[in-house]
Amino acid sequence: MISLKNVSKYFGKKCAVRDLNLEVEPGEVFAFLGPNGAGKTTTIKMITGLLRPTEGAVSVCGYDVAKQAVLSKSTMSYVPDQPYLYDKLTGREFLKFIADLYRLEGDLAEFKVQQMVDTFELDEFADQLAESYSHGMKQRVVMAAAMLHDPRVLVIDEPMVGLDPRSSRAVMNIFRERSKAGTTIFMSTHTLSVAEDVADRVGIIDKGDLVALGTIDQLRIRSRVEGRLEDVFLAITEGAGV
Amino acid sequence: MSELGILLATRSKAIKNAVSAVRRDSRLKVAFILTFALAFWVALFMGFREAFAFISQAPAFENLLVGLVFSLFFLSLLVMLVFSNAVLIYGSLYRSSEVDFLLTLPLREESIFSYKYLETVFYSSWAFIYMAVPIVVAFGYKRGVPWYFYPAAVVMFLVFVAIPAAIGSIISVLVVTLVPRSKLKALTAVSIAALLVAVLVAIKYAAGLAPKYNLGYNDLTRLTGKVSFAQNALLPSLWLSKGILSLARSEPKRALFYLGVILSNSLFLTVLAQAISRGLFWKSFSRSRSTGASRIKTGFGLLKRVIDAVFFFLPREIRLFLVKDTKTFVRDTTQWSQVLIFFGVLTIYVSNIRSLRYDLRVEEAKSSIALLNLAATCLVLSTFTGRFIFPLLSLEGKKFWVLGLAPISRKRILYGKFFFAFFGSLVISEGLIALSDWMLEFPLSMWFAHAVLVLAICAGLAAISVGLGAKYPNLKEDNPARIVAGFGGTLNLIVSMFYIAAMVGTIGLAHHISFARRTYDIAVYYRTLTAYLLLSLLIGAATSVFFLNIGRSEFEKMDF
Repeated sequence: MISLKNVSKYFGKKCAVRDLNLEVEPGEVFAFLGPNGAGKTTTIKMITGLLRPTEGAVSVCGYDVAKQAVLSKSTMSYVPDQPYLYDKLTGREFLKFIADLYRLEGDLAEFKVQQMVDTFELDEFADQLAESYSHGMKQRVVMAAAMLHDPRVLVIDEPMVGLDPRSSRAVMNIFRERSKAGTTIFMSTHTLSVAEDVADRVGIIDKGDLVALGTIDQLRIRSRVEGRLEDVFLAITEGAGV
Repeated sequence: MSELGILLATRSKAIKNAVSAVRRDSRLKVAFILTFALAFWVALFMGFREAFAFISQAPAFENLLVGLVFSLFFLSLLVMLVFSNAVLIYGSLYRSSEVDFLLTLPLREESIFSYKYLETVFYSSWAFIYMAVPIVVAFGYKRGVPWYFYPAAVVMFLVFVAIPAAIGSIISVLVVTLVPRSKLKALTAVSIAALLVAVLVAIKYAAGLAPKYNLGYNDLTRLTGKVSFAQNALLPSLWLSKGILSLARSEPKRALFYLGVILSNSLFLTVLAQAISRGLFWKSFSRSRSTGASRIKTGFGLLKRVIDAVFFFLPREIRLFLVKDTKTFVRDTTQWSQVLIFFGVLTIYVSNIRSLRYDLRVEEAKSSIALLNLAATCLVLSTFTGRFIFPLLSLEGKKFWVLGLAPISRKRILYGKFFFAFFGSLVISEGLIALSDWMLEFPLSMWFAHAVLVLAICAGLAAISVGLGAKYPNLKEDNPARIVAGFGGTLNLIVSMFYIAAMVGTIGLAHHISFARRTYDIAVYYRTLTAYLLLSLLIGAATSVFFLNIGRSEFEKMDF
């Protein structure tokens, strides 16, 4: 579903991502981990089409992100770590806008909007202007907008930032349900407990290099660390740094 | 609905919501803006009406002169529009988080470009039409034009604005594609330098055009020849000028021809801009985000040593704020470039006073010029304090914990901002006014009087902006333009204008009248000068204390 082949990205002389090869399968929840500045967000931006790779190719659902941008984007949704909403639109108006862009027509659009309002418990503030929302409220609306058109691929940068425990639990449950239904989820996070809870596979990037890839058990064997993902992560990234 | 249609429908919904919110929340702001807009419009109308009345006194040259006025006026607007559109579209395509969001949606890049292009046309065209309508109405009023002149002129304007918008957007996309982001700062500096040189050349040129005595036939011929560049047949501004004049002369066929020329070029350039965006927009966008952060030498170094030495009398904490705010100012291209443009243009004008032969005029005229220079400097200064000083405290909002936890009283934080604004304003304004007085060859008493008045005005304006900035902060917003657009920013603008009007229009004017009459009774003049100096300082100090106290009391009890 997501394929990165020999992808590199340079910012001036600095290499942010180096020769990355990665395949994420349908229905898989993939957690992309790494220290600050390791290249996670750059990779996500190349998958979503915000940045062009300096070398290599990225495809989503078989569509080349550079050459078939609209087709690739119509199959996926992206939730950034800093949610973007139009201040002068209400949450409901924003969801309607997304429904229009993804060509959900008439009653179906109304139904899906209401479904998302209910799922993410937006009813209380869905008809207020977004400028009055807290970070968590914005994050919930953006998450709802991302799920609205049943994307085949969901790319999320820090999914739990700003969410209260109840919303976090709801989001985790939605991830599990969606992945069972065949949605591929690619998430970047520093909340390792979330990755441990829902991820089928984990990739660890450090200084632009993919230094580990596999299930959590495979990573435990590789790092020779028994225990939580946090310990495994620290062992791998310390090793990579040496 | 098309992609563009959906984007525009959503934008109009957002505008509708914003208008309802403004009508609900800020009637004062709306009333103030409308009043000033109307007053400015009426002033422009009256100015142009007088100009056309003056021109009509020479019927033999009327058509020639009106043609010159129109072609020069529209050419200046065309140049300004190209420049402002390039800047606007750069901000809206490459610096806006909305584009980051839109690029992740299944939208074609040309749809995003067109949406942003139309937004830019809208933002730039309303100002153009606002500026152009008074001249056309004044012209129509003096000329007795047919009824269709007015709506047809507006249609011509609307079609015309697409030309500079398209040129500006092409320039912007090409610059971002071809010039690395690390070089953009240097390019901005070079562009500003080029602009200032252009202003200098224009002033020298204008000085060469000014007749030595009364305007005569030879002067007129010379003038026509010198500004013939504005009559170049390839300039869109000339097509607009000729179209408007054809309408006024009841020549609808000829007007329609020019409308056709403008329309076809607008469409062609719009299509060209679209075609360029299709190939380059995403590439240039990605490029604009692909520049690594440059390493900046840290430490307080030379700047800190200079500020410590010059402002040794201020407490250490306030000096630290002076250093921090100065660094922020210098590193923010938006801030220093705007200040440089405004004050750069003023400096060039003032330094050319002798080229314009203002120094040779009679005492009363020189005195009026000096007073107008003073007013212009203060008005530009108030835009600086309103745009950059008023939001200073609001911008600390999200990181206020740094200041809140530091062992420093809030009062000192406020005074730190005040001194930054005050000293920054003082250096620029005193320099300009001193230069103006030197160019006009005034005696030292006038220099001294102006220096004291400027000191009082700088202190007052800095205190007004800092005080009201603390009284009406917007701690959630990190965009200074939006902070300024709120109620507090509007009030700051009103109060600053009134303060300048009071200081320049009453005290300054009284002094200038007294100065002009000083030969009759020098003793009276010195008494007036003394009273004027004391009054200036008193009002400046009272205003500063009053507004700083307002800000302080609010700031000290504010929760973050």
